[in-house]
Amino acid sequence: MAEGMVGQAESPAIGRSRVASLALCGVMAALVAVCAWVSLPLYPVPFTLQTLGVLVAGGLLGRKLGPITLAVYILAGLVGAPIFAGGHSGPGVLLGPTGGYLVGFVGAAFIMGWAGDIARRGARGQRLRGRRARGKASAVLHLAVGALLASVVIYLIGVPWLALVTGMGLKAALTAGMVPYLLSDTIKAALAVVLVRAVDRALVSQGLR
Amino acid sequence: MSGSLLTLAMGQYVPGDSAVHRVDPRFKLATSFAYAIGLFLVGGWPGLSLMAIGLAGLFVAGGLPARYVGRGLRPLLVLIAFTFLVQALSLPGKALVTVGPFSITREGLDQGGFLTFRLALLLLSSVVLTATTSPVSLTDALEWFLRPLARVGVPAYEIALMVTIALRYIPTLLREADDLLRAQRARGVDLSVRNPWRLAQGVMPLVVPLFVLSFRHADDLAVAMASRCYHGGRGRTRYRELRAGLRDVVGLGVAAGWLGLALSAGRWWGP
Repeated sequence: MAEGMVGQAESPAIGRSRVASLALCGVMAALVAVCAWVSLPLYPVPFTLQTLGVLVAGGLLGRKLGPITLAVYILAGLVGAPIFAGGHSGPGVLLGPTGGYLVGFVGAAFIMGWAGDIARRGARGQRLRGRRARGKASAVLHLAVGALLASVVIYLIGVPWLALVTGMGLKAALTAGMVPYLLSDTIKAALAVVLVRAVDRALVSQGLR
Repeated sequence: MSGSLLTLAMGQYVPGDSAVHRVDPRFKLATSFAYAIGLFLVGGWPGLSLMAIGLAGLFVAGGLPARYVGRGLRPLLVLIAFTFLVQALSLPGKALVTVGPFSITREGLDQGGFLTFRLALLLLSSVVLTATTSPVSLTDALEWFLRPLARVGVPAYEIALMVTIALRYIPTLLREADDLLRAQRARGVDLSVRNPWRLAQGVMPLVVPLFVLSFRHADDLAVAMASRCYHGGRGRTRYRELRAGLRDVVGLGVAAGWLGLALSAGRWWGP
């Protein structure tokens, strides 16, 4: 993970320690919360950065710290920080109609994190063998598949949960909880791929990874 | 995109000194969960009405302003309305009003009203909890509930610590997100466009620095903790200790009794 650059005043011992993981999961959970707040107008439903934040955080943190971060996010919402979309919080929201999406985020972060791990390891290996373009293509492919699968997992848990809690039936739940978001979620999956790579590059160049 | 992110709710907690405020947070958290589960177990209108009366009692006892009802329901208002409509229109039965192929039935109204009311109570129960209990004391309560799991390897203390870190950094990152939004807008980035491609281009210079900043914060925090000899939860003492008194036990008893009454309402009320 830690590709500390020579000459940077960063301590790799801290970068890989348990304290560093704790701090990173806590701060990234806060970031996912902030992303849920930012909402841009896009037809037919507002484009929130919530799912995007989940995918990018997962892809950057890997399959171990990603799900932990999202679990911390959910717990912070549970104890009353107004962090769920719309500034809501508490156990009633977690057990409520949209709680399934929140649980789905943990699975999505795991899948995206796994894809991120593979992409980073693969790209590095190919770069060392001097095949930069091939490494790039393989990384983009892994991240893209990961982002799509992760989005599917969110719906796989979220939509039946919505149907169950509201008693509206699966068909109505699909209409209310999935169809309006398909366009923006496809954009988000594509954006997530680009963003994970862009942030990764920025982190390496600043000696933070 | 208009206005500032910071104008959004920074917290729902209303400091106060009511009886509801002072009850041990562990008891409140447990009661809140029991209430939410109870809402799904309760069989009919009598039970649900009792649940509603109980919640209203807590609302008043906690001294919460009435506008909190609307504020608590607003985020999911569309979903609640949709639930009601689907139920009202789809259930077969005696038609009251018929418009084209749709007819509103008595059974549909009854069922839709029940489910909608239940959803509203679910959301409002959270409002009562989070408005009368500070996030920090609820985190303490959460850690207390996780502590038995430490035996099977769940790091209860560290989970609570991460939650606390998240709570601490939300305002910081929110301010930075707001700064970035303004900075990009000053450079001419238009985030109010309806063209997905342009929107994606606008999102990039907002999200990348935000993530990099977060990693930097995490790094700084880790260095600060390590240099202060942070070594995990074992043997640490606490500044605030949770102590339950007689008043808390009585409160829990009343809540449990009321919940039992509501759950068994169907039995003695008749069909």
